[in-house]
Amino acid sequence: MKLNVRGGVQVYTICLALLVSCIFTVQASAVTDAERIRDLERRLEQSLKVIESLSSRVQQIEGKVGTVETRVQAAEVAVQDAGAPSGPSQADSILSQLTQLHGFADVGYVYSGDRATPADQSRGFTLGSFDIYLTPKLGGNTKALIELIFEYDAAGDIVLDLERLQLGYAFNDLLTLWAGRFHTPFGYWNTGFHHGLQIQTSAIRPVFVDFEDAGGILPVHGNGLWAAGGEKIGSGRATYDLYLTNGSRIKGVTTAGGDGELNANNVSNDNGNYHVGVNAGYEFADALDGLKLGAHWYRGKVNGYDPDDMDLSQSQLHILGAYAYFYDFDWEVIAEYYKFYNKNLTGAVGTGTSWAGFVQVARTIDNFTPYVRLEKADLDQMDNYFNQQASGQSYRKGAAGVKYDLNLKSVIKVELSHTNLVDRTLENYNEIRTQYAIRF
Amino acid sequence: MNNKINLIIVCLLSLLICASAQAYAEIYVISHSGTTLSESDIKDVFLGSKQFSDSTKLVPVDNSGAQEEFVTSVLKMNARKYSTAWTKKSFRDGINPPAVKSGDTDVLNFVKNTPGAVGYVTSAPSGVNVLKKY
Repeated sequence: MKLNVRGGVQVYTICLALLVSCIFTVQASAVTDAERIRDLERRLEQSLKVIESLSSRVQQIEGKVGTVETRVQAAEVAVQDAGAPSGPSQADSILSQLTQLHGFADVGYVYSGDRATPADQSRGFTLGSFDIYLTPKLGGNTKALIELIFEYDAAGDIVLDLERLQLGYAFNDLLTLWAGRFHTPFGYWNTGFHHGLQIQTSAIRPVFVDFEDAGGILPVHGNGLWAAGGEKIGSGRATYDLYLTNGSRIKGVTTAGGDGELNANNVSNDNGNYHVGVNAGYEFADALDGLKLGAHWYRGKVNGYDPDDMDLSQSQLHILGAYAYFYDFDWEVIAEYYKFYNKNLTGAVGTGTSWAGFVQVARTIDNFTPYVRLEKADLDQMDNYFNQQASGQSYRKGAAGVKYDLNLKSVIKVELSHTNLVDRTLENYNEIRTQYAIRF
Repeated sequence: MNNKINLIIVCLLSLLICASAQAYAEIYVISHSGTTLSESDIKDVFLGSKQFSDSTKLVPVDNSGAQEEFVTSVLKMNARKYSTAWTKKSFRDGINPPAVKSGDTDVLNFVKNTPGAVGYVTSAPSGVNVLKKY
């Protein structure tokens, strides 16, 4: 290709012009950068002022909103305390009350070598119970606790239990008075865990404090009056429970005995018996924080009835017991002891002594909590109170397991146990149980 | 140029101060001006063991922005134990755990305006009783 000279000059001229313009552009750019930085700094300062202004404005608005919300809350409290309907904020109050719905549920699998239990009840997947309880905000010092249980019975029928219906009034820290059906406040386990399987470490309860219709030998439910309270003494706190309930009865007793079931006499007191009990405890603080020690006493007459509701016998139930509970970040220890000084008031009269107790120790390591429990019941079979109950036989049981916390509200447990029945029937068997339990 | 370096240093220092403040937040446990409590009552109030001051019903409230610090340094517990303690308390005694407020402003406004209210905040408050500074 030939180069045209004129054209070449033009090209050189254009290149020179471009070069010069580039130099000027660079110089101009340098000048512009300095101005731009100053401009940006100016704008940044302005922006900061705007942000400061907006921030103070937002704080003012938040303050006003917070004050309004607080006034509304205070007004709601005042309205509730006055016992009047809350008017415009009624929806909020209803929502607030609904949020006080709590509960527990569990499912699992059990494989039991217990030959006395029908195979279909001792092996396979199990449905535990669905427990819901409400603690509605009623305003003022009024309190309520309502608990419902849905579960299947041994026959496969679904059962709905009004587990607790307590209406109370808190006078002060020393006295809250409850009326209705409640968990009998003896020992620690019965009121501490009861149907709350997710909050108890082991998969199942100690046998002798089990529910009346599930193998227990104690009146773990009561219908009557319950006074409770506490007061700071020293660095810790002393607590008490004092209660009066309808007397329990043993129903469905045949002449052979050993097949009755304890019943709390929920509807009315059909035999005029009343039970009274007291539980006094002390919650330690400082170096012994987490430890509670207590003692309890319980007394009342219990009548036995045949399947046609004929009154067969009467005995005096008299319990003296003690318990210890310790819980810190790592360890949980529970020990309970019940001594029975029961008296047969009809038939072969006389006083027998029996006892039952357990010790459970658990250690939490991260999300795992291995545990072990030993329990024993040595029950006098000449005592009408025990010999009329299907579950009133002496036994020894050892259990070991591990609980794994999936999170704060759900756990999985695996438990192995060995049971020896030692008087009415001589039998021993192993059992493995898994459980998935939640709370909400 | 010096201005920029100064600005960067100031920013870094601020971040460090903020980080330190985050790690060692101060906790002021406060109560309504008409509510008298002692320092030794704080744990009992927040665990439901103490529900009255004289004839006034106490209304403890948690502060979502400082709850972890409060539970750890004041109650000497962890979140799991605090939650379980309240579940047991609620299940046995039928009382509800403290309502959780969104932050210092929310807590302060509630405590100022609600007789019997007890809460905690992370900056020095005014118009309320300071039961203890941790």
